[in-house]
Amino acid sequence: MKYWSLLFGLTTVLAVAAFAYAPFDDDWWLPSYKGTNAGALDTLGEISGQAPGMATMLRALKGGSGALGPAELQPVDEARAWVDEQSAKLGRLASEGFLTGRTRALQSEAASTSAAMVRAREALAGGGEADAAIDEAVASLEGLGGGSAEAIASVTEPGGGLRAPVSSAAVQIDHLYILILIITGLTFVGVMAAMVVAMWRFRARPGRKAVYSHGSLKVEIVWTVIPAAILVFLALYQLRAWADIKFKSTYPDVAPLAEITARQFQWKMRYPGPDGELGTGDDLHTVNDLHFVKDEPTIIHLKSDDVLHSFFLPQLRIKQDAVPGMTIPVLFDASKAGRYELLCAELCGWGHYKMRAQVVVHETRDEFDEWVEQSLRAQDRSEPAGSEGPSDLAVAAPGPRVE
Amino acid sequence: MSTDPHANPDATSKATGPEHAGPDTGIAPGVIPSSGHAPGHDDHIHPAPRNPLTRYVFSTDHKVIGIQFLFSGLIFFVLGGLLAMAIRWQLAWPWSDVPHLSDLWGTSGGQMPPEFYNKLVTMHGTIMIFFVIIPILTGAFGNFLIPLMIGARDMAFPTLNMISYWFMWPAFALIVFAFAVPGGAPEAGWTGYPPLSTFFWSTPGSLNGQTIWLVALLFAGVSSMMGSINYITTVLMLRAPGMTLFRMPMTVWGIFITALLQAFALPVLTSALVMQLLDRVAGTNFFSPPDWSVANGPERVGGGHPLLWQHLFWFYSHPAVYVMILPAMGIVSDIISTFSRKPLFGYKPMVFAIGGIALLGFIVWGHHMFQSGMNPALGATFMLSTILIALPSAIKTFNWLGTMWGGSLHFTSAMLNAAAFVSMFVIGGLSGIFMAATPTDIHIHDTYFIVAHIHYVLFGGSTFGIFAALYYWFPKMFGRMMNETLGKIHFALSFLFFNGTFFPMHIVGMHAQPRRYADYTGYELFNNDAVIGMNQFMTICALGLGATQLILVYNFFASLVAGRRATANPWLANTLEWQTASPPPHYNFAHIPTVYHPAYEYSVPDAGADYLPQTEPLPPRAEPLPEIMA
Repeated sequence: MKYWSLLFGLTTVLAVAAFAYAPFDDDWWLPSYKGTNAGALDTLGEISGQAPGMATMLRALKGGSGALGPAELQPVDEARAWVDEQSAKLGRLASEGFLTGRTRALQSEAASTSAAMVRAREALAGGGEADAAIDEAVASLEGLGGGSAEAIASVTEPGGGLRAPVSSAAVQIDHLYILILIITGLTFVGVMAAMVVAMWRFRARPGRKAVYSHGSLKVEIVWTVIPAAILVFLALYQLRAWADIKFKSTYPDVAPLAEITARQFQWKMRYPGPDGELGTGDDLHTVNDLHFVKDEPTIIHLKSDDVLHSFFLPQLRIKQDAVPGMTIPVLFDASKAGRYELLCAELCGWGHYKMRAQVVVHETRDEFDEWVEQSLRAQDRSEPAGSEGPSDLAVAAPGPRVE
Repeated sequence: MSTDPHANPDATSKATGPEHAGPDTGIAPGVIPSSGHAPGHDDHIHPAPRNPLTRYVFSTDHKVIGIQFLFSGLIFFVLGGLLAMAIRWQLAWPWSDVPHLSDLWGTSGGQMPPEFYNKLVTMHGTIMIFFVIIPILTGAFGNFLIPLMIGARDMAFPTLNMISYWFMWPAFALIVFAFAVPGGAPEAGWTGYPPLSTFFWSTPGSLNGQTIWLVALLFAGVSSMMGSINYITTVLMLRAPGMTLFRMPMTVWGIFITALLQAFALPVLTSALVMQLLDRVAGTNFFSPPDWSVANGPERVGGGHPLLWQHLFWFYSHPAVYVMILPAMGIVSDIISTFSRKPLFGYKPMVFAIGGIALLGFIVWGHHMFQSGMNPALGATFMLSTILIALPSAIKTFNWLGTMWGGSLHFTSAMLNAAAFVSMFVIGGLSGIFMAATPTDIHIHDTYFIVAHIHYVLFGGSTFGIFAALYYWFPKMFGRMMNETLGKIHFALSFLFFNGTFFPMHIVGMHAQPRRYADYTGYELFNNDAVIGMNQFMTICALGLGATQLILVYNFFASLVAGRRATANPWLANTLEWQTASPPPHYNFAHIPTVYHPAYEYSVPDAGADYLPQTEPLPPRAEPLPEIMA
């Protein structure tokens, strides 16, 4: 059958199409910021999108005289319910660690909006002077909308997208990735095109004999030298990125943020307490909760308590195995505040798949310090298990110290 | 293609006896002109044993042993494939009832326990690599083809050959038995990384299953070692008169270099397996750090290092990757040349490329350990050697295309599978560059991108190579033709479902879905329609791929019983195995053939037919073959 070449051609087209139209929407294929922050961004987007409309609606009620009936007040009630709902969502975002400073401020803005709306409604229902209260509600609604828009802008690129790499490792790796993808993609399409053409053009037909040739030295040299040149270029081109990400000699001179010890099946984080030194009595211990500060090069010391694990931050393009008996410094940073995920990437036993930790990147050092302080207070109150020993399955579980 | 009877010479009448014109020794000066084939095998012929036990079971005949390896390999292919189906089921519909298997898990409400998922992953990899691909490519086709293709009566060491097959049986029995021991099958992955594998309480499969796994692999390794020694000796010593090294078909080159790889790399794996076994049963501490304990188990004195295992394991297992692809490369070269009716483009560059892959294959093992905590400077050197190994692979691909270009392509099932090998190997080879580049490997290491890569090389490459070889040599093995229509349907469906199963893995892999995860939906990054949808699509394709193999099973057995009788040379090929009857007699050749030229003299001008068996001299007016290329 002469159509076999089409099967190979079809497969090639589908392969290229699968890459070009990977169904990830804004997230494209490489995991980006959006992966773990989409819900939060949606909330902020809803607030900044709806607030102006509500403000217009409130402003239209200004200057009216006489008491309004329940039917006319219904939009106000709905607006207030919506603000309360957003307030609750913002509270959740703050507690999850999403742009804590901003979301907390927005939440209090939402509370005051709600309060102003209540006052305005009372005034409108009673037929009294409502303009002042309405102005107050409108102003704080606008503050809420503006603040949300600002929060979104703080994590959005100038072009309005969310795809851009979120760490300096990601900048280098993604660049290399796209470069290799282009080189390999063109090679693949070229080879497959040649194959499809050969299969079509040189299919057996009666009366035509194959060319009698054992090859050509010239052609062999061409298709040895060109790929060799490309490959050597690739090999040398990437050395810089590898050195920047992994070589200890290129690491900046910063104190380690924390010591992270992986164990079946959790990540134990140990941050230096107020004295700034690890391994002292005032250390902060958390489980599956990594916090650091945006735009600051961060180094952690990675250890393992039992078997091999691997510290994998997909969105920041960082991976490093945790090896029993070794302490390995890992350098990373993040250019956007928000929430990320930490995975275990090395098979570590039956619970490997659920060895997840949340990562919170704070916008400012102050925000981070505040978190440390709060967590230390909580730690002192609940007297959680220490970092050593088997009983530290949950931070909140009171139990004897095993140190 | 046509199989005119007039074009099928009676093999024995064409075979030129040693009393005729001697080997053409002038063409490759300096190369051993012929083998010193074993004395005593020239003129007298051993009859086949009469006793069925020594004829079909404990046979020393390389053809019977090859077929034995083929059948056991295919049986384990079914088992390994079923394990893969269960893996895919869990990934598409996490924790839902699995057909048939769920009855086993009454205590967990029919859900697959996560440790069972790890067992599946471990056993699927182990079985497919050590019990399917290596035994079929080297054991089955290596055994069956080497003596036939170089014109020998049997292997150099027939009894060793028999022992090498029967050494696989303890391995077969143990690897299946591993499911039945307390704690169940091993769970440390096919890579068996300590300390997960060496501490008994680290995970259920490490309780007993891991010990069974180690012993099974030891047996399989010893079997491979015996085979390798046999292949190397046979190729070096038993070639027919005129069969110089550079007249050997690529299949023989591929298997020969594979045997060299095995011979040099296997001792390291064997040592590593013994070391891990001692760590588990004799209290040694090769791989345990000082004062170590896992999962509150008893503490060990320790003093070893977990990375030591990774170095030893990959020192074997990276060459093992080439063990799984080089024979297929050789097979595909032969098949493409035959069905393009055209000499192989750049025969010698192809041989040197295989040699180059084998040599470089020994200095790239560290690319499995870029993120392992090994010194990153060492990673940079391994990156360089790894990137360079892409070069000989590229040369091979271009030469295959060069062979097809200008040919007269006959799309038989074997040819289609060989063409699929080339195109899928291109994808597998190119995706390898992503992980050879150390910085991009940081992101894709241990994700589904790696799973996609190994399956494009091992399924898209080796397995399509095995399919091609099966369709091509089935007539020689069993004396009957396979059904070509069923073969083509099987090919087309396999090809489509294969790509549907494994291509999206690149994309979810880039999206960071980690391998060996029983459930990825607990992560915000993966708990979305895109990732789950693609996983479901892949599973449906995988189930289709599995079902498609039933066509092959039917075709195989139906053809075995009722296929059309095969002539001696149904594909009109040049190599020696086609110049004897199908199936070959016990002694292979009535007279040891004399070889006049390399295996790829197709469409020679001035020759009558478009092929010229190696046993026939080149036509008198033919130009001498170009020395650098052929």
